[in-house]
Amino acid sequence: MSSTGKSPWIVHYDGSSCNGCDIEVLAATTPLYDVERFGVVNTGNPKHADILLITGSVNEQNVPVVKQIYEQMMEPKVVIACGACACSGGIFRDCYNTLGGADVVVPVDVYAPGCAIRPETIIDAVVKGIEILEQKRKALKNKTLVEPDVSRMQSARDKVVDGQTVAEIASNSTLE
Amino acid sequence: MSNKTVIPFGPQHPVLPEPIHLDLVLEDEKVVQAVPQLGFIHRGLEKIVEKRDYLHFVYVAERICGICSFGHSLGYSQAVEGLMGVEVPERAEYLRDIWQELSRIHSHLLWLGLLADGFGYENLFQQAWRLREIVLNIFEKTTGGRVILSVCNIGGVNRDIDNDELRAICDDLDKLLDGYKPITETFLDDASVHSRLDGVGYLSKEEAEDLSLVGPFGRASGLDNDIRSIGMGAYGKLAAFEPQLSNIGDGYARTEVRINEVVQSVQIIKELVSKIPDGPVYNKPKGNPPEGRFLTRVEQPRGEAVYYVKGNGSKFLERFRVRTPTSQNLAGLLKILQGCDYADVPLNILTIDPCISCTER
Amino acid sequence: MDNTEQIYKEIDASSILSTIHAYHDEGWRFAQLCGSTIEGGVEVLYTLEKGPVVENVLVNLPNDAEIPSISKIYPASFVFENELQDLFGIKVNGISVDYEGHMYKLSVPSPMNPKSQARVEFAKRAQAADQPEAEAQADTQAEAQAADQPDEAQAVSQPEAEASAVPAGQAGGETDEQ
Repeated sequence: MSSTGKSPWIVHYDGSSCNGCDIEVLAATTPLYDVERFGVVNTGNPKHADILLITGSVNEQNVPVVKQIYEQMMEPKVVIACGACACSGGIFRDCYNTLGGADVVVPVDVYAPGCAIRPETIIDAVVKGIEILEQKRKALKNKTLVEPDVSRMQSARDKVVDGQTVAEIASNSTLE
Repeated sequence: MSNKTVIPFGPQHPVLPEPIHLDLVLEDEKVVQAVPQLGFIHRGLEKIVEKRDYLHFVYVAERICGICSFGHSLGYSQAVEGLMGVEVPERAEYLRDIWQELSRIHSHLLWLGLLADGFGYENLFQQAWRLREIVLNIFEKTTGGRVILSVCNIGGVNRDIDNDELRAICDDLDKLLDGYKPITETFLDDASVHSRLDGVGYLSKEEAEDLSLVGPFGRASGLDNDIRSIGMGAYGKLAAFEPQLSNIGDGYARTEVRINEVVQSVQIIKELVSKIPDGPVYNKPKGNPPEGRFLTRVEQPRGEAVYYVKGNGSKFLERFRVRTPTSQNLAGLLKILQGCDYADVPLNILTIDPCISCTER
Repeated sequence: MDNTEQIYKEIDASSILSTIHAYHDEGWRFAQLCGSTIEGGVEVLYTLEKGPVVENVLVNLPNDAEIPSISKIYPASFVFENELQDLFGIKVNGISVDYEGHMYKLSVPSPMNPKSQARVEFAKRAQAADQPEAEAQADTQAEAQAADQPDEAQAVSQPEAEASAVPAGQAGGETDEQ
């Protein structure tokens, strides 16, 4: 295992979440669960990080921010969607301002469920992420790194508001 | 001629776990103006009250915010009970207030950890969150969840806590106070804490009244705005309740008020446990909410939250509205940021205890 | 159980400022301001409290009405008035910190009130042009609006007048993501 596998650094961003999953991510670094003994450091700088933890169903305003954090991270990198909202939009899937999960904006490697996610699940997800990180590191070394799967990403125009997609609302002149 | 620069603060920042963006206009090292940019957590959940029936919506309401989660489900339930005229059994009112006070303790410990981390005292951050695990353990034993409890419902609560368990909770809280008192006494006496918090973000009582501040932010300037003094629910059965006030009005006073509130909450829980009556804990509501409106208030850890519901006879409510304490305190935040040093900006933001996910819903 | 007496008074849009002034002079605290969509318009609710007593003031407005701001009387109300503009399409004049309808970046304008002018125009613009052009048109119109507003540096070099702060919310949000 390489040094990144033995000590992955994480950066955490709250993309329109209720905060429950975020405080559990922080609680994973506190003495009861203590991921720092595995070498995991919660850094604030995306360029120092290997793993991105996204919480929350991403909203319209957060899309450029999340994309920028993702692009600033160095290869190889892994994205973990923490919590039900980041996986698929959660209980807020029907709201007018949520796009529905982090995979709308960035390609996600690990989906970790829970509402709010438990710290044990976060540790499990990071361990799975480390395996994927190792594969990506080897592929990068052999120059065979594959482009991420972007088939699930959608534009804001396919989002459903009040039973119609935004594109349909825009093309209807009679509303309701 | 001094130079003016605009520095963006956030939305991704190591000091705050939540995204808020501020454009700080600086003149040398002093902040001249702060312009906030909100909207990073706006999900629009008030509109889905038209799609989820009133019994199911309590699970959406408690996910407005993960830190003050129980308070939101309590406020929503109180508002719909007032609209429908549902009687809540007495034991349920005591249990609700016990969970609400536990929620206050865990929120203040969380805030204390983040404030200390903002200073650079990482050890105090770890200690405060280690003590907080005692409260989260109590939540898990009694409700099954650490953060989102799903226990408050319209007409009462979903589960009971038996009296032996309540006494065990009091013993656990005593152990929490044994660990809590030495570290907070050291923290409040420390010279470097004084030098960083004394005089920072000062607001007089008149300014606090003018800005309509709520919660410990206003109480540190001497404003008596605690909703628990009104005596709704089981709070009316307490022998005496005095809100924690201070008339110093700066960052140090706000820290002291919150630290004292934790000790007061433990005493309130012990008093409620000694007085709790036996009986049922749930009274199932019948029918749909009638046409009408109801407005109620709850004392959240960050201040007074106002809940407003409108019914129209069907099983979907017509309107649900939450006015959260941080959205009311934003004007106060902009006031204390004006004229402060650039290095004090994270501290000033942390001393008001912001909860941006509540603000934007 | 909450046994507070529920008091609701209905007033006209023209007497908003005088009523709120009277409450302020008698020492009432501002609690909240919210809108809700009703048949034919929007209903705005102002809540004021003094100790245990709570009084509510209701104003019935037609779609796209204009009302004066109370942020000179109660500065804490600016957040809620901006929200009223963004989500319901009601124009509020004279807010102390005015985002001019761009406090939240929404995918559909005025989502809580589908009959407001902004929402109806959004649909017509898209119907008149082709689908992909409609989105681009909406974006360029928004950018033109942002360019018209003075940006922060210029606003600050004016003499110290807090009330005249007009943030270029759009420009700030798009360029400063670091």
